[in-house]
Amino acid sequence: MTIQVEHLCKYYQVHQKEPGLIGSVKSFVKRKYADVKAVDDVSFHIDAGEIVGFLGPNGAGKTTTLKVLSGLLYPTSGSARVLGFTPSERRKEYLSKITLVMGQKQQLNWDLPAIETFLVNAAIYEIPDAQFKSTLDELTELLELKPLLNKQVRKLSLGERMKCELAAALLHRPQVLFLDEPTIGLDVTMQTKIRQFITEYNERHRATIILTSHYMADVTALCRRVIVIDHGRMLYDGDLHALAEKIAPHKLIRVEFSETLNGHRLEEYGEVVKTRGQRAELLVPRDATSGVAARMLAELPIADVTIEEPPIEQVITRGFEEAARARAERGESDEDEGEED
Amino acid sequence: MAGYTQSDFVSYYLLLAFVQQMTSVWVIYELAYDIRHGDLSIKLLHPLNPLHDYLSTNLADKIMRPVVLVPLALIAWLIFPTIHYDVTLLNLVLFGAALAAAWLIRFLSQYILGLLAFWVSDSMALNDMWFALSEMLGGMIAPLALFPPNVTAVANWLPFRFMLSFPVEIVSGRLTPTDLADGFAAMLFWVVVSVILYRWVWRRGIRQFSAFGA
Repeated sequence: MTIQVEHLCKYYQVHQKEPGLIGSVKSFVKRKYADVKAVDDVSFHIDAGEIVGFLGPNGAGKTTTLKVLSGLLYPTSGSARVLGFTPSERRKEYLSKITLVMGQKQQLNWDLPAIETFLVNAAIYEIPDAQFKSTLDELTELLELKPLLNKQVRKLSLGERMKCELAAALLHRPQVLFLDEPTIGLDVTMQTKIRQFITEYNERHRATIILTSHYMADVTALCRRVIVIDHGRMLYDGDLHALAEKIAPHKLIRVEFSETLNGHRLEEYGEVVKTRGQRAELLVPRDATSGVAARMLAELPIADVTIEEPPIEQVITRGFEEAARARAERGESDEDEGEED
Repeated sequence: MAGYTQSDFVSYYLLLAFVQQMTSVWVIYELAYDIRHGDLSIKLLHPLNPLHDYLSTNLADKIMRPVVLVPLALIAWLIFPTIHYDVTLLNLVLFGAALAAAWLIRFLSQYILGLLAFWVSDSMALNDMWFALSEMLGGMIAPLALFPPNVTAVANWLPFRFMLSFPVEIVSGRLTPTDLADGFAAMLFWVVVSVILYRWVWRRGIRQFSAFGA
């Protein structure tokens, strides 16, 4: 087992300041602190070679968890072990086997070409020359870096820079990759390329990967398994598609009619998501799906009908919305917590 | 004035300016920026103490600086031909050693102050105080020998002298062999203290950093 996390908690004390000068004076005399539970009793195990998606809204605790796993943060309680190491000990042997890529932070030197940073990293990680050359060749090929390597980093576009960042983070051939929003701000073509690259890297090196992303497409394309956290708590750990079944209370019925509907009200059958010409899409409670479909077939002039899971993006967005509503009803606050940058 | 002629003053301040240039340190600004913007996290991901990163940035500057400084010094010598130093091979070696030590003490003391940013929001204010003290007691406003004798006696042992004026004193030819030996002993003491203090603060700081946010 590559990653073992048991009852991990990470609480921050955050200084609260009222606005304005009076607030400043008050906070100088007596500081108020609030405890923020960025990660609250999270446990999971990940095997070698798995790609796991970390899902959750902003401030859910995703970044904090990745920072604990990469040794940047001490857990408040609970434990984490990766590759047999305790990350917070920050052993050199450990740091040489992992990488953390943060889409919003960069390690490349802004004023120099990327290749210079690569050479520095080769020295820092004590990569033998031959291995450095072959890894660089491989990354250059997979990420199409050839025209970028000798250009000043500040002259590169966002997507080009991200590719170079990935390369810089992978030169030492880490066995475990923590990718925090690796495709943030990139256009669709570039997102696809980065995704393909991650898959390739995983297959070639059997690397273990945890990935967070706001783009569901990243997760659906890369991860069979997802871990969902919200407000520091773990909501789900398992198969991506089973997640839809578990948290989506509805199924989607798509129908095509043989003639234009007259006098039939589709709302009777379920929540109408879309109608266009003689086609319609309805959301129907999961348990009632077959009954409703049968009724529609009997009562309406139907040419074609399919029953599907609703798109995973919708499911998860709704799931979080409902969780937030439930919290609001219980009177819990729902402010943005946890993730600091 | 107290055995200092005009040309003694010119010689003193010219070399003092050279020492100040060759020991200049700005690591507290880099550290403060990196800690506040979270860029220190990126350095901490590498299997290498970030001190090496900051040290090498500063050393690179020290290699480039003489390129500008040496021509300027030559011009100054043309303008003030009375400039004189007690140049012997031994003095040059001692000067070099004292210069390196001055740089190290300066660098580490500022680095330690910078690390205090783990606990306080503004470490820069402390640095301003430290800087003012080192100007005053490091021989910037006047050569330390011209202070009242009891002030000189104390200042001779404080770290500020070894961050600035000590290398200049070596080649001024005013130190007796005993003064030199005492000076080097005190300098070594401050180097060791800086290293020990740095290690102590770093170990605690990094724990603080990782406990309260990164």
